[in-house]
Amino acid sequence: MEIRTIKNSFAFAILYVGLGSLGCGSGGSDGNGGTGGASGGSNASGGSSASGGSSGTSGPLDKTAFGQKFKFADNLIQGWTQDPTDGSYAVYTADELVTTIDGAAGVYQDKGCRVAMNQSLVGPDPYSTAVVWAYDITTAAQATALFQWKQNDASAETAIGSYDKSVAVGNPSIVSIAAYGHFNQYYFEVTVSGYGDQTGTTCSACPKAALFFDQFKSKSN
Amino acid sequence: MSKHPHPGRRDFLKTAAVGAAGAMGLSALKFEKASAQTTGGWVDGMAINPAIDNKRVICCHDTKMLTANPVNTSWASQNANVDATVVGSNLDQMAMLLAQKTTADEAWKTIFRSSKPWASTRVAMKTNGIGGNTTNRPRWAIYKKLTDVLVNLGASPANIVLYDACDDASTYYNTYLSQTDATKIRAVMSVRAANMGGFKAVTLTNATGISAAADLVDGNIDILISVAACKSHNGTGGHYNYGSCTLCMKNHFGTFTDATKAQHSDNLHVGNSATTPPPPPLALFEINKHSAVLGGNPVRQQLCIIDALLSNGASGPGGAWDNRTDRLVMGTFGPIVDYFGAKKILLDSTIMKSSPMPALGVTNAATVLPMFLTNFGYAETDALQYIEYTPDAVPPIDTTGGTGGTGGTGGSTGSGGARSTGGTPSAGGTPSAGGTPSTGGTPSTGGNPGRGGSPATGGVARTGGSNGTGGTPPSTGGISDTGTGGAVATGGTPSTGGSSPADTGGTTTAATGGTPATGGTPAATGGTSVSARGGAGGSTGATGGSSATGGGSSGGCDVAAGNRSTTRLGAVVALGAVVAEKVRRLIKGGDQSS
Repeated sequence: MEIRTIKNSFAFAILYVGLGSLGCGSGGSDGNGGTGGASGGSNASGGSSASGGSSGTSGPLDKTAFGQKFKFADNLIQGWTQDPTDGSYAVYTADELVTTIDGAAGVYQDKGCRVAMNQSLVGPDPYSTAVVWAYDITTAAQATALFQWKQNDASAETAIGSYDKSVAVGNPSIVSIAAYGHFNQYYFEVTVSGYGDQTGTTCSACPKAALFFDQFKSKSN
Repeated sequence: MSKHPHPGRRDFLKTAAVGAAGAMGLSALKFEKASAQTTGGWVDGMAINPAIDNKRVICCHDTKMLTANPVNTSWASQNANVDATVVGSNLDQMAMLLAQKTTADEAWKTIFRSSKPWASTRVAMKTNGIGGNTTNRPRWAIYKKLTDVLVNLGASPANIVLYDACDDASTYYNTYLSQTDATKIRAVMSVRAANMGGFKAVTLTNATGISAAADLVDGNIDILISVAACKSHNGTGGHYNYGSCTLCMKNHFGTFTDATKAQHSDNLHVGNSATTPPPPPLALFEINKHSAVLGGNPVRQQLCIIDALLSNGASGPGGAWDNRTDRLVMGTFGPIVDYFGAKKILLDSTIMKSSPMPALGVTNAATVLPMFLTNFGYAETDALQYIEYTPDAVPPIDTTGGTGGTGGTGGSTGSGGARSTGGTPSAGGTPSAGGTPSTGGTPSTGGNPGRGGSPATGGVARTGGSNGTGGTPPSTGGISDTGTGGAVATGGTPSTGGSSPADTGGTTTAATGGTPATGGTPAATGGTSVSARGGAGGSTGATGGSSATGGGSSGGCDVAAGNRSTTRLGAVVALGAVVAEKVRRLIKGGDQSS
């Protein structure tokens, strides 16, 4: 009940901010500290530096800044471009996650998510698609905890590129590779499909997923 | 679960009586009250449809519903490989098994009911607009079939609405929708609740700030159909709530929602954080008992379907599909449809082999899934019926051989009555020539009640035998042993069999059919369809011999088996009879047919 109350007040704060500008709604009401940067609104950079606050963590970027930080421009990875279909790019506050992933949002909310970005891309190979998620999980320790939870929950054991499995790992299915990774305070999910059944001995989609993690790693610094 | 005596074959139809039903007496069974329909929502014991057992769920497994693996996870790909014709045909078969009717028309007319003329009847079909382009959601072919059925009954496309009151689903379905094009979903789209009278606040005990589509709350929708994708569900704190699944019941988180924003209301979600074991999802149960869903007379929500052509395992509710499961699930009562959908598909790692339900989901489901039953007055020990239908499997009948048996003389013996010893075994029929109708079952005037059915042992090949076990069909007959049976007997009729080329069917074996006949029974088998039932009757009535002709019918049955089209329907029905018989046996003390 206490959690729900917090969420609701958080939602109210977000709504209020939404009526004004895109500012980082979490500021102030968030309580995680780092409010400093948050208020920055457009000045995303502010947030990052803001180590302030009792928790000593970085303040969350506002939605727009966070989205731009992690969004993949066309051909940033050769041949991969924005999926032209409606709704293929969006940014959410933690409380808004429920609009797209329903009750599953609770996992991310409870593990510290503050902002999330979702983007769909189409690739250079026939039918190739990628759906990527980037989450600000407040602290590196919390991002690691979420990664470990997901790794364990999905029984993910497939290596992604040259990444150590404590950093990025995948769960192959008949149609895709769903991969999870984390860098600093950020947690990422990348699902690549269009390369056939990935449950055999060879994961042909894994190197593609690794390309996205390479970029996420770079963007996380 | 009963297993077919031919282990080398795929089961054509399997029935599972869950729990301790096999060792249970009649007194332990719950029968819904036909007169208990209300306008005020769910009351324990009420029948959603007086002609259909709330506890009956049909699952169709057919790999032909998808012509190939979708090339990727996109919505377009999810639909591109769906064979709408096969899906439609299977939904017909499932409706017949659900309603226990011999034709699809009869079945759909039994399932869908309205207090108004069809032309003015309003229908709402729930879908799911949440997520993005790769979210697993019900495929269009299912709605197309449903609207074909409803229009055929007389409903106007303008009065059929496809909706998700929470998230705008038009993005995904508009291209498949038309009020005039019969190749599409003949319905109108509601962007959230726009075409459903807008939102109306509802008062719930377990959640605040909730509204629902006004036309449902006010009773302006006569028929509600919940069609859900098949997805696992994790949640708050990383736990798996809602029985680890999101199916027909949770689908209504898009019916009851926060009117002010296009998202599921967090007030409906389980805010348990890390509680172990997970608490009951009381708001979920409450909205599924609400009069907006289960009010009305006839009851508004008349059909629940799980689209499990593609399913979500480890990917959870928000991810893309990660398993091809090739199944559809159908029933009239959401909680039991969901119970089986989760238990028989999502939690079965041999089906969800591409990306199984995470271990925690399995653990948490053990706590919450039984609540799907107990919160509605049922228990896992009730005689729940899960009937699995596999159209492309070899039917449980020997098809080698000739065209279908005219029918064996068989049965003659059957001195009937009294018990089963019934018919001489078979000898019966020569092969075939197909299902002549089977004169079979003369009515069974028959005998003393006789226990008909038992004999089943008879017809080895099942032709005859199995079915035959008298009384089956009319199940009533069998059950009561009163032997109403014979009457039905028209038995062989189904003969359709013969006609179809396929039917190599009958062959000798079949012929032998009559065997089982123990007392007239056999006849039953024969009559693929109805007749079968008759036979059953015979059993009871046992006059045996008379009806018995068994062989005859058995022949017919065979034929049917061979067929894939209509004929097959006959067989299916007959098998339905078998199901009824199996259930009867379970009730009486254990399925002896292995």
